[in-house]
Amino acid sequence: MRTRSLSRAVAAGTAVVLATLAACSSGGGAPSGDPAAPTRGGTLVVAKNTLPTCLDPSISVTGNDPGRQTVDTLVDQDQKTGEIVPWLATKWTESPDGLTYTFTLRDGVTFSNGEPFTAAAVKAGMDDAVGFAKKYGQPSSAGNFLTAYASSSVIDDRTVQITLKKPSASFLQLLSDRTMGIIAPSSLGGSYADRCSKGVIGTGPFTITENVKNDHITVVRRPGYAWPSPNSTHGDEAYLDAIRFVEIPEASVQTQGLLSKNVDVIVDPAAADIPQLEATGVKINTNNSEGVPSSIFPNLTRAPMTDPAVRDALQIGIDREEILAGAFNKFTPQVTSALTPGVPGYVDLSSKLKYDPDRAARILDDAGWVMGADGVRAKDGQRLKVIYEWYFAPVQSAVLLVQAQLKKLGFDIELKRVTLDQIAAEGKGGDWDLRMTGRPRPDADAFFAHYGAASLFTSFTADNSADLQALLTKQTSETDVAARKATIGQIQNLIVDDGYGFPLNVTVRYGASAPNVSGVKFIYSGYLSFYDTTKSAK
Amino acid sequence: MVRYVAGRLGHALIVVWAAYTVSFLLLYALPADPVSTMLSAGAVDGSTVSDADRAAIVARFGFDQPLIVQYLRMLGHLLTGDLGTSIQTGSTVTTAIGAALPSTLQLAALAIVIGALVGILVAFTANVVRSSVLRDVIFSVPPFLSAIPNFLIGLLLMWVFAFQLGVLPFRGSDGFEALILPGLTLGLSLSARVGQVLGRDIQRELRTPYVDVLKVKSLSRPKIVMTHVFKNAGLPVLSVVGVMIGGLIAGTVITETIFARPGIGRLLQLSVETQDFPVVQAIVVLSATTYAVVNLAADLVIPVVDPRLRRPGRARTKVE
Repeated sequence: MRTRSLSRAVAAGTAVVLATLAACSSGGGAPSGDPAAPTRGGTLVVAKNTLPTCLDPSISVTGNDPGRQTVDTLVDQDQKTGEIVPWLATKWTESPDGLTYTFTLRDGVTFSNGEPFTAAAVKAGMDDAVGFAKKYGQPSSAGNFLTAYASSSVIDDRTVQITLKKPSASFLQLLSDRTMGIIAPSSLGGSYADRCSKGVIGTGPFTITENVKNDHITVVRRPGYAWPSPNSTHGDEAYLDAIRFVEIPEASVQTQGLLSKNVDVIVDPAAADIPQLEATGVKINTNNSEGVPSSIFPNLTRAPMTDPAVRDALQIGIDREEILAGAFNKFTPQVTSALTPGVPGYVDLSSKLKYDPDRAARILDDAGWVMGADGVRAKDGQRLKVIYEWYFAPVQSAVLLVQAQLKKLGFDIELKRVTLDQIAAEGKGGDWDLRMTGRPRPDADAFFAHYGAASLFTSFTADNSADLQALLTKQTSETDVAARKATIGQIQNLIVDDGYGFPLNVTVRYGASAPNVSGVKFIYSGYLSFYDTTKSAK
Repeated sequence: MVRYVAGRLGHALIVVWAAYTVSFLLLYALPADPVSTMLSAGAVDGSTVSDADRAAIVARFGFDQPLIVQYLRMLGHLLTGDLGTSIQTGSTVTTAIGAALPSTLQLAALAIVIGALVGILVAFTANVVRSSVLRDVIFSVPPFLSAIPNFLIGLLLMWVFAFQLGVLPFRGSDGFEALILPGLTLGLSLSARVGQVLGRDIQRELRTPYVDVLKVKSLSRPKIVMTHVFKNAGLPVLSVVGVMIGGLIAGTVITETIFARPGIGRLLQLSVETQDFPVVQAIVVLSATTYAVVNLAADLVIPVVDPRLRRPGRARTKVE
């Protein structure tokens, strides 16, 4: 892995060098005003540190902004409320047992190769996804999404019926993700390599025309497009003529590219560069990754985290306000529960997460954890020693603050930097007491990835968290929206009260766009949409 | 001579095999296989994969087999020229390398030309200028260049020529213009070693008796260096250039990353990050083969160029 550390060292070095050089140069460009009416035309240059290795949105989610511009989905998630709204399906009905969904499809929609969008295409896409691993011997995102799917049947050209193996309250939310974007049946027969390198034919506002590996990907406006998501601000073809996604591995080079007007948009610029960018009129869009916030999880398979008192003390022994101020920037909101506010069913539990070191110390005293001369508590000869695993570089300062805060309470915390692969390989066992993970998905089913008994990243089993597992199963099969929300509220309370997880921070993604670019939007799932984007003359 | 060549050839083959085997062991000693990595990346997003699907995927890549079986199978494929399939893209490794190689070859060719020219120029001028101050200044150029990290040279060049003057592209691989800055970045680093070795050797040669004879014949210093000294002093440079070419792929990792060139170095870096084993293995073999071939060529050419090394018994002495 020498190259990797080498590239990190280079990244650190380049950031310093270019920042210094920039500071030496005379001031940047002045901000210019937004155009009054949307400008049509132009090619938007978007810098990414790596381009996706696979452009088929049903196969790969990772970094796949280009592929996601080419497809639409049956339903969408409302940008403000998170509720499910119609898109390519104009309406739908759900059977009382929650097993059958009947969708009515929108008229007049076509794929970019002219094929009509029909019920047969919806069925073909679903069947392709569930049979994908067996057909190609490769995993696919859509296949992983559709674990509850049984079959679908074409009622007529405009009506498709989908049957599930078990009720899945988050099924519609899954369908709103671009991973479930509708693909033309003729694209589904291609080889894995073709689907990845050329992308697929969709009904979306852009089509892929060029893919030069590790260099650039070009998508162009699709003529005649007229069926955007209800989250959009206009109704016909995309404003831009084309988008050129270019690979620029070094963050500081991306920043200079944007300042020198060689680049129009950067996805996730280096946090340190944001003030410099803002000072020159660059617009920063942010997106709070909705789902389970970045949290610390206890290892319930061994002491000391099996002791409820230790977990209770930890929950209020973390000063989340200090962490927000010390480790994150002004765009980051305070974490307030075991879910983020954008997830339907979220409840505000900030009062239960309030920092209270005195009470935390009392809880530990009462449970028999006595403060030792070395500043570390002990009980029955066992020191309060904790191994804390973490992997995600941007949370480093937060991790160090947690270590310092808990040290005051008498915890001896040993930090262990690992990789996500190591965590997955170690699994539920392994030499750790606390672990930090957290990835977005704007539905309460995101709980499963972290709190579920099948999670690769935490220690939960059907035995050590029976109450939690029962509630998780209950919410996913509740088709009554109000009842499900109530259960999701119970789950958040249980997690916070019993210390099943210690929410720490909300992950924020950034987009930086040049002053003459407008309408660069994060969609609900955290990816960028360029359908409403305009670029005026420089 | 035949025995000599056969011996060198066998040596080269052992180098390539050893590089392949060591890299295989290193890659497979990592805690997680690439398939688990792919599957866990999906699982973090809240999705899951069924056990049957997982087994089908793992079996397809052969990660369920014992290590020795995986090794022998891959070695067998390699011997038949089959480099395998990229785990990330599903394309053949040959396609991926074929797409990246031209860009890297252009970069390497320009870098070697720049490295040799600048290196020779520095060594030559340092030895012919009369002012001892100026000579010291010129002699300090190669150590200075080799002390500056490669990426710093690249960023300085990019800053001046792309962002300030706007005369050259700061990224990409479109045309010769985009090649200039990366070529200079890599070339200047290479020139440091050529300049150092050649400069020192010319200096040493100038102190030998035959140069005194030439001076007595009232030949000018530049002429002595150019026509007589250079021929003798230049030989070690051949070996240095040989080693340099072998190590070029490592050098291109940084240069290609800074200038966003889709070459072999960048491909290697990304493949290591995504644990795309077949691609990493293929690049290691390519790199080791280049190294072995260039050194073999140097070993064979140097005795031809230098008659002193052609005597029996001395033929195996490699000039460093």
